[in-house]
Amino acid sequence: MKAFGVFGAIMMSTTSMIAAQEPIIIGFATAQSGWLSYESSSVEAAKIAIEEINSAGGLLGRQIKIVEADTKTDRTEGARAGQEMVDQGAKLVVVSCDYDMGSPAAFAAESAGVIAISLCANDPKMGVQGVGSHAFSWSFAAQSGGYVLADFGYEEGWRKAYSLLDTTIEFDKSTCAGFNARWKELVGEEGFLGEDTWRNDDPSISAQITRLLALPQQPDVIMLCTYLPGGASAIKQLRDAGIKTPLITSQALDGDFWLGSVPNLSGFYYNAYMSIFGDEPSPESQALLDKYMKRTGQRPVTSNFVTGYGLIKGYALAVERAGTDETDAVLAEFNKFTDEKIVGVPITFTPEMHIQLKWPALMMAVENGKHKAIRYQTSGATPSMSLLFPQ
Amino acid sequence: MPIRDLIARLLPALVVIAVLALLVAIVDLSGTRLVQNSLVEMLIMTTLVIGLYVFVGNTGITSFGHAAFICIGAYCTAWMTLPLPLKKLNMPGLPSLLHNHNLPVPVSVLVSGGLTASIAIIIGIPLLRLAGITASIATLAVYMVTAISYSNWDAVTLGTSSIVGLPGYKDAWMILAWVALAAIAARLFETSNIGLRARAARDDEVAARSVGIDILAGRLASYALSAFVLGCGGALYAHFLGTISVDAFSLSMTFVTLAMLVVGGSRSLMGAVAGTVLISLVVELLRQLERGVDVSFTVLSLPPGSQELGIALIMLCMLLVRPRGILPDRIANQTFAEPSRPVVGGSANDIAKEKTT
Repeated sequence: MKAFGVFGAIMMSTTSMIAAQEPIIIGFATAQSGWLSYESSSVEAAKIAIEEINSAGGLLGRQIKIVEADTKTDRTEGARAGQEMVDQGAKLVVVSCDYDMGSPAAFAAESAGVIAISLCANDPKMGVQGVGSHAFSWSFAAQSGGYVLADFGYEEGWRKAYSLLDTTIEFDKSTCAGFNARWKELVGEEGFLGEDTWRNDDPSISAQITRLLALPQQPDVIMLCTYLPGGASAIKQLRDAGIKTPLITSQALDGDFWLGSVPNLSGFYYNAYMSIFGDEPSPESQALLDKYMKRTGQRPVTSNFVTGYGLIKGYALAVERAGTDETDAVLAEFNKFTDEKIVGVPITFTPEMHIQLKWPALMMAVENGKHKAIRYQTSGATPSMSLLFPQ
Repeated sequence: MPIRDLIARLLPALVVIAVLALLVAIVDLSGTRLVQNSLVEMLIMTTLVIGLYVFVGNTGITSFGHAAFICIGAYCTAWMTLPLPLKKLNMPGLPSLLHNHNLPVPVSVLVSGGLTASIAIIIGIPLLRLAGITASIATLAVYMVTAISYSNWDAVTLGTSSIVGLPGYKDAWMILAWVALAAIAARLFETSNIGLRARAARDDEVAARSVGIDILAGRLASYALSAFVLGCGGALYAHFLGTISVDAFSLSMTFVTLAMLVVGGSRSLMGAVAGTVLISLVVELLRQLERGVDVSFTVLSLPPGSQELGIALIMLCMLLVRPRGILPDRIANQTFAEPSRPVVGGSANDIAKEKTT
């Protein structure tokens, strides 16, 4: 009997040792080809975080193993890629930085009861309300991005704003909805001169410019909710029409690769995750940029890459607190996150909200075609549920 | 004997069902989840290709617009099965009946097929008066109109955004049952009076008219049945993926399904299914190769896009070498050498022999 007990104990310790050696699998169902493949810089940053964890002894003493599948920036392939990651035993599925492209993979994980985190989707539907209780996004809601921009404009002393909305994608509609709502809160209805719309592929916005110039009073600032390439074209047309008014826009126009189309641009402001131009105020973020550049030998195209690193660090924190990689325990720890500083960003999750509403954005300025970091900006308020989920 | 007659009529469908059932059984016993998923996807594609075959095979008109029917079926099932809170959030424009009630998936799949068929009848009446390449171009126009309408009908389709959260329905045996229904329906149709009349018009329109065949009726019936099967297939595809968007039902889906039909042979049910199985295998193989295969010390991988290129090459070779499909003519033709109504005193085989000699 005693011998049997000893044998049992030995057996148990060996099985637990085997379990301890088994790697924790993280799957990446992200775009390696297609228009969204720029998110590979974010995946690269995630791999830096994984390597750091592995070389420091792993997570709960277990190494992290990476499995990957290409979504080809295609939703159907995305659903397949997500399913494949689940089938290969992933405990966490990292999905694309876009709600439309990332949600099919996230839903495949959700259906299998596996946690899915989007690299940087800005649509709050990438969470409990849209995909399900296992889905998260490691970024901020587009509406709260609009809030931050309104607060920035207000602090800069501007009092009359006009919005130019590119209605092609949901992200811009949500950003402008957030900006408009917060601006009216800050300066009142009279400070909001109105909104005009166009579409990203419109060759000309001359009609919009004519209407803008015909306003009874001219704005102090123009909020541009758009993305590339239409955004660059609109900016050029505004400046060519002699409109020197400051322009603010979202992180969709981060990076300097498109500035050649608008030479010597000035008076242009946007929110970024960090500055990739060597003047980052936060030493922690600068250190991450240095690591990235050392690993890849080049500067990232935009500051988006930071979210991949933060996402892995955040997941590691939740797993360590849970003491296991079992989904329910990790999910419970995630839902308890309250202002956890991860790469300098306070991260909060609740059982209802799986995206950030108070992400501090680094405001960037472009003067004479040169980028300059201004300051980290937050908003004094958060968008309401009806703004986040319009019906 | 009516039973013998029925079996003779359904023989190709029964062969197809038996072969696919064997495949499902093998994979069910020994396959990994990944292989099982690929198999289910192949079965759904088989349903879609059978749907396409019902129209193309019976009328001889190549359809470039069937992705529209797949799209209509997929969205229809989303309206009827998406979890209610998601439906209220994503599709505010739906009638309140749909906001408060859902249908079970199999019923919803049938309703989706029904809606698709009704739409096909309405557009088919003017469209199918056209013939040949003109009709093909018109089917492409149907696709364009559908894709643009659904991309902009924000209140019920979420525009170009993805709808996620459809309940899963992907048990291989259940899907096989749908394939079986589609194959039997296709076979019953093509051996029915109206199906044979459609085929007569396909082979010689002028001769068919001269013996008083109503060409429009035959074509319209094929179009409606084809749309019904495609609508059901689209709904199954939506439940398989769990997520839909208009761009999932694009020209590339049109291309892949057409390639399956052309490679297999567009004039017989067995050919259509053989083509689907073959192309699905090739696609899966190329997909694995694109991802990279460990060969001792190095990883071999094909550049992205090889999958599409591979299918294009196969289709081109087939069109050059075997324009009537991969199946040997003897097997492909046999499916039609058998009469739908055996002549008194003669078995199906006798008549087949008589015809070939």
